[in-house]
Amino acid sequence: MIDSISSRAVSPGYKAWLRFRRHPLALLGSVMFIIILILALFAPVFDRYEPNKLNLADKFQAPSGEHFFGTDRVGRDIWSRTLHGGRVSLLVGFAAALVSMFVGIVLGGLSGYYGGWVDMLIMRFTDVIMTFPQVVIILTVATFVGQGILNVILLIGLFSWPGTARLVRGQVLSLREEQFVVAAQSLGARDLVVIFKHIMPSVIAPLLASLTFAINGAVLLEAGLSFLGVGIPLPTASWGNMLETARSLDVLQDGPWMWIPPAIMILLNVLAINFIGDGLRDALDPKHIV
Amino acid sequence: MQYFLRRLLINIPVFFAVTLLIYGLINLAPGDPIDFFVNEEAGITREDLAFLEEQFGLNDPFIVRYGKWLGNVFKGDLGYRFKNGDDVAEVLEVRLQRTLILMGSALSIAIIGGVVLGVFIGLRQYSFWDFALTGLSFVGISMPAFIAGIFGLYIFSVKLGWLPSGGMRTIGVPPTFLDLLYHLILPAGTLAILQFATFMRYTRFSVLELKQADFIRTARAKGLYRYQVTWRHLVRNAILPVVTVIGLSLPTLVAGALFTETIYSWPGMGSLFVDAVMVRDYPMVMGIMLVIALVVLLSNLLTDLTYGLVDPRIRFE
Repeated sequence: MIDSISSRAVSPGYKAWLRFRRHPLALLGSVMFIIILILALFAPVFDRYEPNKLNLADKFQAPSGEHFFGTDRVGRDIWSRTLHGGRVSLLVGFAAALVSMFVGIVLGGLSGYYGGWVDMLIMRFTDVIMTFPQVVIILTVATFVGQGILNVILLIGLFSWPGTARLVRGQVLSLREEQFVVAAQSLGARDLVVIFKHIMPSVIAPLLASLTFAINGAVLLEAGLSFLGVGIPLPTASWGNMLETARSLDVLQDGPWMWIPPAIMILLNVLAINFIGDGLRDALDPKHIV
Repeated sequence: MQYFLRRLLINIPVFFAVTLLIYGLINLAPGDPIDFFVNEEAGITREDLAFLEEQFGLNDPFIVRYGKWLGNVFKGDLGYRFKNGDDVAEVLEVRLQRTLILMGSALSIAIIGGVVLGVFIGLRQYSFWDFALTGLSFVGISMPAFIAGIFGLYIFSVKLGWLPSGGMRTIGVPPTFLDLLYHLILPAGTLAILQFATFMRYTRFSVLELKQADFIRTARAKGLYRYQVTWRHLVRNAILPVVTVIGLSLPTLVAGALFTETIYSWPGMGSLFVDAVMVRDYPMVMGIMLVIALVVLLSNLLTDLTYGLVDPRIRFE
């Protein structure tokens, strides 16, 4: 095994994968996450009832062979809603994380590359956004832009980029004096081409680890917003708005099956992605030697 | 001193930008205060509305309105609540105090517990305790306040009946310190979890990293006793960077307080904010945002200052 690796040129990506593979928690996290992803993606295969279908005859039922996780106040099947809710929560998590990464990469790239007043302006703007916990701004804006999956994605994405922007800026700042950048510049490449085609590929590694944390942040924000009642509107299920039912005392007290499944799913999902992110960070750290 | 002044000066434009952001955001909200208060059915005509708008300066350009608002803010006048006409500044004073009690307790638990346990397992890498606590800390950093809160409420209040389900004091009993403490356990514990785990992980990492440092080897080579090296050289320096993490954790703590206060009906600023946002009580929302921004900026400044004080290298920057 060792021979076959050392006998040919090994890409840094492959080396990173080797390190990742040997990280026990990262592997555990990957397995957990793949299971969650399969359950969510193939929700229509595993569900037993229409997730949004009311069935007042069967309302408020404890778990049974009929309904694995019981039913909610209006007779919707919790097992099916947990699966379909996972779809929505993960969709929001991934999409919002991508939006925020995009904004962060663009702003951080411009800031680090141009320096001077561009940097000053973008970084002070970043400071301002970072002064508020995201929930505070998003909650405020959410009440007047209205609910809906797309709005939740955009809101989370548009207010979660400061961390990424700072990370990218730092990386670009240290890379812009490198020879390959100077070479590209002297060949007459336009600034945007230099930033996004030449410099950015070198920044991908640290970004990958921060993407996992961005996904977690977004999943948690969606859950938090829905928990407060301004996230994903009913009847569409999401882990967050299922959890919201626990805010009324009778459900909290007498219907734990309604909120424990989404709570556990959020926890497991966040835990799994944290494990993966940790493994990625260790694997992609160039100082780290196998 | 110069270092501190420079940090202070950087924060001033940021503060103004923050006020602009707050005003700008709320300005995007549909409708205006007139719509909020005037009942169309009471026989009020369009002309009356236009007159009112003109009189209250609602048709002035954005910059003029912002300037007026900012001027009032500096005079300590944050306006009156849409919801019930209460003075925003007065309400804030009471609510902020309660939130600070909650956040202060949570932060103290997290700092003391996190740093002590972090040092403990950092000095015992790969021991049973290291694995157990590092594992638990993963659960801790994955546990948002709203999930910890629901489980806490369900287990300790509903099922076991050990602790009250909410509020700040037992109704009908004169308020005592012990009673407050009794009501504080669950919310403060809930709010502390995330920070506790974060500080513990960070301290452990910091201790592990410093173990390799040259000056530790030098201290050992000098023939100092083991405990001297550990406590005077290693631990003291390892705790240093944790100061930064503590300072930067404030926004997360505020966000956590929002959920914790809502779940345990702690009558502080966080639950008030959620309330105010829901009923579009914008003067209250703006007031709270302003306070949050001030608290965060102040804590950043304090972090810089503390760091400058404890780390002599900063002065040569």
